[in-house]
Amino acid sequence: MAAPDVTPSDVTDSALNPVPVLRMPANQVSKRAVAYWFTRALAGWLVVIGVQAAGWILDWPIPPWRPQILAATVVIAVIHLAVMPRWRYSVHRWELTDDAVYTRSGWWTQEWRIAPVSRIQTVDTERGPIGRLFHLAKVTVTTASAAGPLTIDGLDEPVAAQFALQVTAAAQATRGDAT
Amino acid sequence: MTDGTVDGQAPLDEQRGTHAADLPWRRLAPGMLVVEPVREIIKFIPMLTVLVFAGRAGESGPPWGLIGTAAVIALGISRWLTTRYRITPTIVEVRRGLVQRKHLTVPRDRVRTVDVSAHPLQRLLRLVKIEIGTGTSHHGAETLKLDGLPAAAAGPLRAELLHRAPAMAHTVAPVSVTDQGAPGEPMDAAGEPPDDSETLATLNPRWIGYAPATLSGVVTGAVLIGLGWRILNEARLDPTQLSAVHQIRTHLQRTPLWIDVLQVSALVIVAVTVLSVAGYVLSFWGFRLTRHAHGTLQADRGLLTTRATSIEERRLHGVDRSEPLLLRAVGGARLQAIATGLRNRGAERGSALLVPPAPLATVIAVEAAVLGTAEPVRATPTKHGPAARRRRFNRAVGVATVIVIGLFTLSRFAD
Repeated sequence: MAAPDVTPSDVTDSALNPVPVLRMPANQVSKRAVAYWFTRALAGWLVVIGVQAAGWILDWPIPPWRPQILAATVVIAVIHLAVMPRWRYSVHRWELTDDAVYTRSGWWTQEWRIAPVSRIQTVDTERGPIGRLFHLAKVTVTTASAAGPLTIDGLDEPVAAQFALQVTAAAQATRGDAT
Repeated sequence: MTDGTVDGQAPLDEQRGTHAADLPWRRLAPGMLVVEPVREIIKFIPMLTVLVFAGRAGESGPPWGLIGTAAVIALGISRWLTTRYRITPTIVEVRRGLVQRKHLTVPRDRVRTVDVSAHPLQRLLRLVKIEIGTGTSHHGAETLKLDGLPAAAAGPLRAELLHRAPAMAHTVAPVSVTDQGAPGEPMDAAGEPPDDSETLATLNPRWIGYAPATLSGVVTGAVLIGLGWRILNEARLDPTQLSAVHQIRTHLQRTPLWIDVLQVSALVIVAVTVLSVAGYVLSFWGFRLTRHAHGTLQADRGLLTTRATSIEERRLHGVDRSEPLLLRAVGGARLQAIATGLRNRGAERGSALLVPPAPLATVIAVEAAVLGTAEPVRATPTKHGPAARRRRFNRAVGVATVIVIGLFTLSRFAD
């Protein structure tokens, strides 16, 4: 997928042992991201369970098997909430080198992305209402790629700001391809 | 590893430190606080009128239209309050959002196009909207737009963003954005182009004759009908009870069918023509394509809403001359730019325009001027080989034959 001749000259720890291109990005996201993802998922599940409970109480005609479906939802929600945040935290990683941005994200389905700095177009930092509670930000790096942007969720706010500045500085220093 | 900062990059840090340091964040022009509410109220006028004349405003429950308008106005004001931007020698930054806070950063080197537009209300207050294209192909990507800057700032800002004179890398305050446009400035969205520009094409009023051949009036007509329908619905009127509709209906019932068809098609043709011409004049009046000495192409156009798109020629990878069937029949064509960062959809629709529907000879001349050589324009394309032509015919005829034979066989069996 990625050009094999990219040799990232690292600015982080991994500078000491140059490794293949699709290696583990060096940095994990903020530890608070676990609580953040938990809260976000909980909010989502509460809506789903709330609607079902309302249906049960107000005795809507559809669907049948209401108590059973509600019970199943609660079980799935509990498992999801117990497993997803920590799993996601162990997967989410990022790294910025002079040449490229590396990310790994997801939990069940995982995605590894590399974007050469020369292809970076914009860097967006975004903080939603729940993210602000935990002082976390989401960084989106858009490229000229049809595969869409790279995102790093759950970054500490200062780290995200620093990251955005350094990526843009690196992108400005690297002349873009002529796209 | 815990949260790693990416420290230890001396060169990058230095760049950031020396250039971007502590430039003040700027707000959009305060005039937008007037523009946003007024624009929303104008949008609401047709509905208000209908409500008043129909005299039924009282019985339609909560006035959702009014509530919606108020909400949109509040949103517009909050947009002004929460949006801040700054342009440093290396990056362009925009911050916005009340609940969902966004901070967009674009390296200056990645700026490909600058689109300056102004609707009539903004022109009245000498304000413009600036959209900065970066060439990201992500569909949902946020465009970097500054809706509401003083018109006087647009020219310098565009030059600054696209021309990138090397000396500018060391200026600390690159763009002087005054809060009000200087009195006596041209109301043109773009401001006057600098003197060192070369005009490649300007609108000849005769080109308007090509408007009906674009059929753009069909779309406009459909939109108008939809709008009228919505107003009628909002007013809870039954269209069949309007006297005009009633008269037309009785008239059509009295005359023979072929006259009805003739009358209706004549009416449709006239309406489409009028709408097409109106649309052409609205969007392309004052059209002018210029080449600036620093290597940008700029297309200015628009009667009421003015628009000026600048494309860096270094990013221009080609041109696209299209001759749709009807336009070709009357000897016309139009020209668009091929460049990353020009997306021909959504809000950016039309930003790639180089020449509006115009005579073929003019378009070809501009094409040669833009490319700097007439060679690709004059070249005769090679035709497809015989194998390709055979395959084309086989597919076209073959499928039809199979279907016909199949149906024929089936009908025999059915008998």
